[in-house]
Amino acid sequence: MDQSNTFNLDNEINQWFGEKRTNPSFTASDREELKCHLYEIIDALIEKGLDEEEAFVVAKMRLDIDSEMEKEYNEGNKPILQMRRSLLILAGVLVYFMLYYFILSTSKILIIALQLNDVSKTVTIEWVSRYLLTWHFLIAIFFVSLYFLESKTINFIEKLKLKPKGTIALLAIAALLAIIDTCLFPIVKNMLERNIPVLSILYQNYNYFEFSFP
Amino acid sequence: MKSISKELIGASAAPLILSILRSGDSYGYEIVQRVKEQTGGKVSWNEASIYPVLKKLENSGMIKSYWKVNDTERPRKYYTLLTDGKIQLEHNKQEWELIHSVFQNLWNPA
Repeated sequence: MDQSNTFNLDNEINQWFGEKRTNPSFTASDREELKCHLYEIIDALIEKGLDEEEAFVVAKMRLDIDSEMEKEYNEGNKPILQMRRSLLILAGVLVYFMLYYFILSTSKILIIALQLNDVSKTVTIEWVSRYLLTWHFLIAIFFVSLYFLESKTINFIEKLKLKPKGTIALLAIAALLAIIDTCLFPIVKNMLERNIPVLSILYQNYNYFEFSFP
Repeated sequence: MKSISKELIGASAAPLILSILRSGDSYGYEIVQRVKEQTGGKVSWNEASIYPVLKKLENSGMIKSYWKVNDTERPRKYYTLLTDGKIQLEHNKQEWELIHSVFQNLWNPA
């Protein structure tokens, strides 16, 4: 089969740059600039009489990006990379609070739902206790998996492209969940008819959850 | 003559880029070609190695980049020389002239 018929220059270039897409040392602008440079070399080589495939092979060699150069790119992009890392750390803190308030507010929604279905107060508290324990169990599994899947986790975090808008959205969601949680608490107290023994068990559950939340 | 050593290429990269940009805005590929033309191919950069240098110059406020996109040409990232770059180029020029005069005196004593 004639290879020149199957060679697609754009696909080959995209494939070559795909490997660099996941490399955090390069910004999107760097990749686009390198791609333009590669096309310029290829055009010049084609003008000299090479076919597309030959020109692509030569151009790749001329635009060789070794580990030393990656380091230099990394150095040059330090301000952007540091900003990206700061955003990731901030996003991590916000996700922590989002999860915390999500669990608390959904536990209160669970109490309201059970009370609306005429479930006894003691059973309701037992369900809330189970719900909180389940979350604890899931979070523990998540942290253990982080330990065992360290390299995959690091790869995943490095591939995350978080923009300031995304971080603001996370902050808004965390704040919204905190407000919902605060607003639901008086409703829950009223539904449990201010029953002191039941409320004290509920408080104990929440206290336990707040102290032991990782 | 053998091609110029890697160290000398590294040391001259920034002044060469600033000198080329002094005559007008340019983009990576064109800068590499101009250096090749000027040196008769004796200075052969790894073509991608120009970009970290351009990035450093841009981060230090000597040059500024912008994308030029039009229907007839490929989109290109152009670089333009700023005032700090012109000052740096003058400084580099004096340094290279000093080194050149030292060698002249040592190799051709009166």
